[in-house]
Amino acid sequence: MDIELRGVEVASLFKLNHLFVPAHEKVLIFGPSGTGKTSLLHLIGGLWRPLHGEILFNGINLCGMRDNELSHFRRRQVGLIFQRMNLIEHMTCEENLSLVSTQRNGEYEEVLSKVGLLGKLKVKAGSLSLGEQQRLAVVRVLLQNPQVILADEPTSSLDEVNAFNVMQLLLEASQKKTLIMVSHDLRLQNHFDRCLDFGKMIA
Amino acid sequence: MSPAKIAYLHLVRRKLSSLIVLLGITLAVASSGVLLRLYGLSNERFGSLIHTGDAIVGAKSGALDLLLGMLNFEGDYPDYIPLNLYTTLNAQESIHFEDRATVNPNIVRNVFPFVLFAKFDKFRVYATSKEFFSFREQEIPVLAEGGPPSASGQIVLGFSIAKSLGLKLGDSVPAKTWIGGEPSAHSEQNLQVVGIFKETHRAWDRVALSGWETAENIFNENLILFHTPWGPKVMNFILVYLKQGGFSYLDSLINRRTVAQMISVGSGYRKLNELTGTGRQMGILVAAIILLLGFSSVASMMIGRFDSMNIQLAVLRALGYSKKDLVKVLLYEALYLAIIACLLGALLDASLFPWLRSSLGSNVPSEEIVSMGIWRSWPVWAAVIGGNVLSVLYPIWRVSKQNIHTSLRSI
Repeated sequence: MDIELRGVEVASLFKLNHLFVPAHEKVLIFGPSGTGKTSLLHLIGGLWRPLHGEILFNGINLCGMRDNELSHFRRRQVGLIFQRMNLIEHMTCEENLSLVSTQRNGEYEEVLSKVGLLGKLKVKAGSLSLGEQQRLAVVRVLLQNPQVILADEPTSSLDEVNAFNVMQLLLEASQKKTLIMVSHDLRLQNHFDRCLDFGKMIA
Repeated sequence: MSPAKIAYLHLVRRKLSSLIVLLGITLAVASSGVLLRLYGLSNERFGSLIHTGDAIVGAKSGALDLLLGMLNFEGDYPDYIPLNLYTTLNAQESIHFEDRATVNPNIVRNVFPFVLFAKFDKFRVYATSKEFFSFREQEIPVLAEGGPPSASGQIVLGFSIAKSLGLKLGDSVPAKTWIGGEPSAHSEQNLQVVGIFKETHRAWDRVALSGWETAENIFNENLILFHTPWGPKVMNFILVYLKQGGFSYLDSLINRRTVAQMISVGSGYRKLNELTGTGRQMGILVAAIILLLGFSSVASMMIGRFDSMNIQLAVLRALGYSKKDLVKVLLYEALYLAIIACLLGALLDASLFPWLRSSLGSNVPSEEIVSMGIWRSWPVWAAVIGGNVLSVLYPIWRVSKQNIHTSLRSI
């Protein structure tokens, strides 16, 4: 799914003249804290509306959609992974997965076993370690099967081993999908088709 | 996952806070339900109290007992007074006393004796004079079908008895003799239905009336059980209709010179209203305050829960749940709480009410007079369900204004 941002302006934060991400491209956006990288992801994900400008998915402007249409669109097309608090803590892993998918227990177990979470199906998300939570969040996006994955520093709270595992998982999940990821960590740039310095993109 | 399941999980996974709120609403439902039903009992008593007659004569037992015994047919078995009193008043004969005083009771328009002598199911059977069945006056029952009793063993049924027991003319009713104490299971007689009264929406609807000879026969058959100075020539009440200005004259005759007591129907009504009116108003006020407290606890809980759910709701929005879905989550949560609280509250109400009712004794009408079923608490349940739904209006407004971007940035 092609993503295009035209003349997007956010009050007192930034103005982005143009950004085009073609379908299936993997883009890493880096830059200093506080410049609005997370806000950009939220804009692309339809969680926030800009003051001016257009956000186009295959030519369809998200800014013209009503709230309910936007929610419906997000549910089908956009998978979001945050830095943390991806999950509903009082729900089990199975329940968190079923927020986006209606598969059966057996299928959940199969996909959880791939990320080392076998046997955690009935465990509450709040009881998992940060690394496990992030892996579960990636699995949830995998089950949601969206066209676009937006990830906001998904490895920043993790140790190196966990960060590597989550990154591998995310890259596998985003095959034949558009991936836009925000991160400070430039060591990840080899995994992406394009790296953009957000500071240079905005006015 | 459906909004209903999300709400359910939110409730059950926060057991302690859910249980505390549930307990609060349950107690509010139960106590308001009990108070409402007690209020209903008082109202039913006033609703079914018969508005007729100028005076009631009965054994000395207090104005309210006489009023409720004769005009609402409730209370324990009433004491006897001599039938002679009725005979004298009815014949308007002069009465001569030992002190040579003479009274001529020609101030009486109509008098009707009443005596309780049997019971079937939960209904009482009284005997009265045959003139009563043709008497036309305000709130005196009129026959809808059949005729008045013409022989011993015949009865005319009140509308509610015929309706609730499915009785019709010609049916035979097995009645237990009741001439004091408890109704006797050993002495039963079959009474034949010869008439059914029209519906009056008053206490007449739940009594059966026979002619005087039926009671006389039963009294004569049970002479061994009688310990009155007048033998079987007794009655319980006289319903009196007076000529203008006749009350004070008859009052001095009966209250000062006989074993009986006479009360004015009008002043009895006022007294009853004064005694129970304030209590009834306070009862409904307390019930309303308790309900209000229940609502405010739910409202504060829902607001508190929303604050704690703020990020969870933002995550759900990010996953594609619409505002409408989130509103449903809040509504379901409020409804679950309300429905469970209503069920538990109704159970508590059902078990507390009979105990409270029996503790209050004659302050409230007995079960056989007014059956106040648990369903009569439905206004409380409706108010709790409605109130719970209303209590989520503020959280719903907050959801509609929620900025997901800001909520997620605040993590």
